Amino acid sequence: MFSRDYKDIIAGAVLLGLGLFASVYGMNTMKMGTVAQMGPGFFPVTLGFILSGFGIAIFIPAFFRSGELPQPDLRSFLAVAASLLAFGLMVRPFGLLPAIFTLTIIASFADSKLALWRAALLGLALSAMAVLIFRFGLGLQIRLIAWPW
Amino acid sequence: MFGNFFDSIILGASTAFTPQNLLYCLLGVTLGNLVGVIPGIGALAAMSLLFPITFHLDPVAALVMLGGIYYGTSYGGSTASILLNLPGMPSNAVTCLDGYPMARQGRAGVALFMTTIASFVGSSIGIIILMLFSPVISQFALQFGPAEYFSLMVMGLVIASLISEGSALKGLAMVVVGILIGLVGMDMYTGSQRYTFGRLELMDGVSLVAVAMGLFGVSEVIASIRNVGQVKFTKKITLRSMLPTKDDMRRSWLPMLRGTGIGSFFGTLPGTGATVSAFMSYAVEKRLAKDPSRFGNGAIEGIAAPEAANNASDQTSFIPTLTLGVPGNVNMAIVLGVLMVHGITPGPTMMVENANVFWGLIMSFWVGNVLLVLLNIPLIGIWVRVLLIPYHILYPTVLVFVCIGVYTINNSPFDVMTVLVFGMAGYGMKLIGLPAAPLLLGYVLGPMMEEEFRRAMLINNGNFEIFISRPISLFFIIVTVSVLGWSIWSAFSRQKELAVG
Repeated sequence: MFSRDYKDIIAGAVLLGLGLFASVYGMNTMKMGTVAQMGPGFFPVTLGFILSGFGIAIFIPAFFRSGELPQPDLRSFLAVAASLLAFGLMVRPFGLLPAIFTLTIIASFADSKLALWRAALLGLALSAMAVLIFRFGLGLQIRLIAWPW
Repeated sequence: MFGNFFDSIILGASTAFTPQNLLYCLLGVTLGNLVGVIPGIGALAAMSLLFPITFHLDPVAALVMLGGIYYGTSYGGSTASILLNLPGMPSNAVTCLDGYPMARQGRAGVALFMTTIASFVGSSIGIIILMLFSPVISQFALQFGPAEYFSLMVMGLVIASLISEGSALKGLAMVVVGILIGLVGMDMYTGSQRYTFGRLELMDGVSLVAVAMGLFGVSEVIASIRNVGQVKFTKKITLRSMLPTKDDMRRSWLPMLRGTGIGSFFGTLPGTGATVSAFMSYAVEKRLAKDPSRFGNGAIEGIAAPEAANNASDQTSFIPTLTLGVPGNVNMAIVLGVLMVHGITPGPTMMVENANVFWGLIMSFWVGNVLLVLLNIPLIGIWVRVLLIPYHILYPTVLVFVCIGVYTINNSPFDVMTVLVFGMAGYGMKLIGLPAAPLLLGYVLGPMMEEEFRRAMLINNGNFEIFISRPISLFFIIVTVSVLGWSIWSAFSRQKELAVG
């Protein structure tokens, strides 16, 4: 237990920030128009202000009550994020299969239950499955393996 | 009127019973059952995973398959609740309370049998309600103008955010965030760019599939990796052990009907759904019971009522989606997405203009539900074995399918990065207690809401009076305001109770 509700303080601050960003950025980049003839900016800028209001309403009371600190599982978070990033970066230049294989290997670092060679095996199995389902089953034209240079 | 009705049923049946649609129905319900059984992957993740595939199918087959996944998960979800005390789906959480004790008393078979029967009863009555009420509601909805649609969507979003778990304020805030994300892209009136930061990829908006998979697939995986333990149970489920006693049957039928009633009501209401229905019906049964202490110790009423409720709610949630074009819950948002991709405008005109799609989908529900009974009673052994697949094999598989699914829509690595961003955001939101479901609802409804709002203001010269001068719109506004008032009042009285206690 903490003397302040940090979860809601963070949540409120994030929402306030998003709301302010949406309205300020919106006002600078879009025409507002009038209520009868609304421009592209009218609706989003208004919503931005409403969101900031919600943010404040969540932010302030949180200082006056106790709460828990959020407990992120950083290892799972980083492993999963890195695996998706790798897939996104590799799929165009290297093709689908290397991307799948790399994703599987990196994702398996999130928990240590899968030994490296087994993760590699899983990666190969998933690659085979992907070829069967997406290439032969659905007939999609994706490059399976490529070499960028 | 009745001749018409039977014509529609025949049209629907002839659409649903083509070999192709039967096959996609089987595929859908089997997949739905599968992801339902596995804790940590939901209907939404599965539906968005298959969303890209539906581009290559004709609209009926696409809807039949996605629909099958959706209601199939409710059947499958109870299996994990009963055997592992771990809900396969949020709407099956309440089934753990009495299902798991039944399993520990050696009555797992009976529990699995009764939840399947209850699911089937709930679904069947739900489908009948769907068939009877959809024509009436869509007739009625033909009178809706922009003001009515706007008020209706506001009502749906407000109810959704108030009833979803956690604080109402956060729910409402997330709806607004969702609407803002939904507005990204080109403004259709003026053609100017909104929040695209000069990126070409954002011109068409943020991809629905990427948002849904990030928020509900990837973030769920991150949160589950360390929390799903190794599964241990050895009992084989035999058909003989599934037979309920006479006493079980006598106790269950009324709760099933009450559960169906509750589920149908909350299913039809936009914004609420299976989870609320299941919890409500459990509470009602406990209150009505002669001996409430049996609940939590393996009372069969405690599994029959919520399982009937969540399935009835699954089926009836198609009512607002198909007749008004307003999704009843986030899963229905995906269904709306499929309709739009195929150029079908959901709403009151759909029943006339695309009668074969509408009735074909509804008749496929009958096929799907019968298939699900077969999958869950004679073939229950398969699902029990599925529960034994360890999560560390499962989650890389899920991630691979998420990535391929998203990538193949536009062959765009940008969409994969969008999933990554929303996956990380979704996990962060979980940590600080911001609900994801209202965000997705806002995302889908946002552009529609803005369009109706702008249209209403244009017609009425910027006068807000239009929302309260038209009776149907006024009705929606009154409901919205009273629900808001009730929730503020109950929040304050709860705080007082805490202060006194």
